[in-house]
Amino acid sequence: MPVNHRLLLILLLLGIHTLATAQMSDFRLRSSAGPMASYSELKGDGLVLLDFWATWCLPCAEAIPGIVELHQEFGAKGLSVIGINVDGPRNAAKIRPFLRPFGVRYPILLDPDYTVMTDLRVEAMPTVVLIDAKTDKVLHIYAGYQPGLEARIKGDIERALRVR
Amino acid sequence: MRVPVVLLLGFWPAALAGQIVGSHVGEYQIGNLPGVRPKDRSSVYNQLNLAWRQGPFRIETRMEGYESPESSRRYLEPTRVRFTYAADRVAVRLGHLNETVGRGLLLRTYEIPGTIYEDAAYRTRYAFQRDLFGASVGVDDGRYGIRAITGRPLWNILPPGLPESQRRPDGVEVLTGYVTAPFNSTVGGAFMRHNDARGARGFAMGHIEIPVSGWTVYSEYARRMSSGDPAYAAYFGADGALGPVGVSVEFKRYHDFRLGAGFNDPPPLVREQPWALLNRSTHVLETTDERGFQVEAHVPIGRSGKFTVNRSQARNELFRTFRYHSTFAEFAHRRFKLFAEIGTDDLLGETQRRTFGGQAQLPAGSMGGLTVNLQAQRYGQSGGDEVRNGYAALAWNLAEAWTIGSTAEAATGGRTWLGGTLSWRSQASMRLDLFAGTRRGGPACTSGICYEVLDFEGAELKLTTRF
Repeated sequence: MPVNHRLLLILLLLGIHTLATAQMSDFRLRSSAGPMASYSELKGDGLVLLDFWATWCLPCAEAIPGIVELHQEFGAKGLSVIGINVDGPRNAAKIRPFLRPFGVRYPILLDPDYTVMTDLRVEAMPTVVLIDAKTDKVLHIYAGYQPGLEARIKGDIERALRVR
Repeated sequence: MRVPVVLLLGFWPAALAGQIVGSHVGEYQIGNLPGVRPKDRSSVYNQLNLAWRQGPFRIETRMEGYESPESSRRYLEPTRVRFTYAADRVAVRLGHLNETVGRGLLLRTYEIPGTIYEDAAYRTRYAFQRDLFGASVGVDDGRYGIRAITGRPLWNILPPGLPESQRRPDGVEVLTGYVTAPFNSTVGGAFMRHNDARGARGFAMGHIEIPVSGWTVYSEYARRMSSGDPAYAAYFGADGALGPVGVSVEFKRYHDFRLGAGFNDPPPLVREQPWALLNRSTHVLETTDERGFQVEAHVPIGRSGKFTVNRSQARNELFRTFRYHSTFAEFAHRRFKLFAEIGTDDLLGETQRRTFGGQAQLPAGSMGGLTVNLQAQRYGQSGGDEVRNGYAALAWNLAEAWTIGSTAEAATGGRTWLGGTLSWRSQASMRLDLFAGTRRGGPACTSGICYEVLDFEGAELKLTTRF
């Protein structure tokens, strides 16, 4: 068996073996409003929903209205929503105008060098991450947008809130 | 085999005191460029990313490997080693870094996660990125910041396996900083020294950002510090709201500002298109000489609708005048989108371009949902010929985990591309993608970065694992 085929097999087994280790670590980024902000300052003590998005991403625009609704419905019940924008400098002037029609009320942090994105190994746009703020354990990762995503996230939030 | 095993064993004791995270991408291809023999050329690309983190410390590594029938194109080597210390205000980074100065007029290094690059000359596959091998030290408390960067940016059209001296022909040293001024404005700047085989050159940059009545105005100017021909880049952007409408206005003026092998990336002021045919027709910035503007507005329509309109325009004074303009409009609702574009791009050789199309999502309850995407395009070429392109994609998302799709493209001259995809995912921890058929290549732009994708005919299996 060629070297790389063996390496692929080892990595596949390693990947299956260690799926449950995801843990959120703190990060600090500039917000779209200007000041720096950190995850630990914004996460609250309930659940956190991170939404990785970009202005060039068609499915991201499909997901944002649902995220806004989840924020409206569960914000008072302990859900903190943080948008992580991964546009590069090319689209920096478009971020706030893009969001304006959606009525986004949650903080947007800017990750143009993909620091947080790389840390969470995010490769699909959008990717939504549900985290338990007390333990920082990653509960669910939703990679990509499919119709019905909002309902799945809502179900997972309700289950997580019931358990707490 | 020894290197990855040592890497894994080396990480094991560290896991006791911190956390190891990682990802792996493996892609097997059997096939070739359409019409190129052998038709059953097989190759395997592997990429392993491992990161250890403990408090403010982080170590990231990447191994990449490529196996192909041609021995000269094979490689297996570490392509990233990065150490980071990031506390509240202080950040120290060593190794292969991603650094951006201002809006990228002077320096921008990046990675497009998940993208595997291959070009027709080298036929070697590798992660598409432009990192900087060096060091960065910075202090930033939100009111002021200062950062020193030194390193050698990657010339990313050269694949791993070639000598580092060829892949990193440029050296840069940058000192950059900013301070918060009255009225919440910020003022900053940078000095950069660039050296390559032709010698050393100095550059200076200044920027200012001012919030005015709900609007943000940003301006950046950079130039080469020499008494010869002027080389400069000027960018101006303003964004804000007119009632419920979000608006951005940007201007650019770049002259003789491609630095080194291209380690800077000034904003091109061209809409980044998610629509396949328009993405392939993206205007590519020519920093030798380009001036122009971009205006974009986002208008809410009802509860879930949005109307976007964009006008981009540019002019290049090269050996003759080249013009580019594009007017784009899109209506987006949660379940469907429609767009139309009219444009001309002399540099691409596309005149009187007309593109339109749309996408609809049809929910099917517990059976998932169907997504249909149709696009058509027509433009004239410099020689007077007319080109027509058609694009159709169908995807059926089945029960969260499965997606079955098909993409068909047709172009003038009877050329056709037909491919089928099957994807399976387990949460986001594992994803399997199978492609079979023919895939159309051409220019592609992702995350603001444009590159060339090769045509492909054959089958491809991609496994992505994150842990």
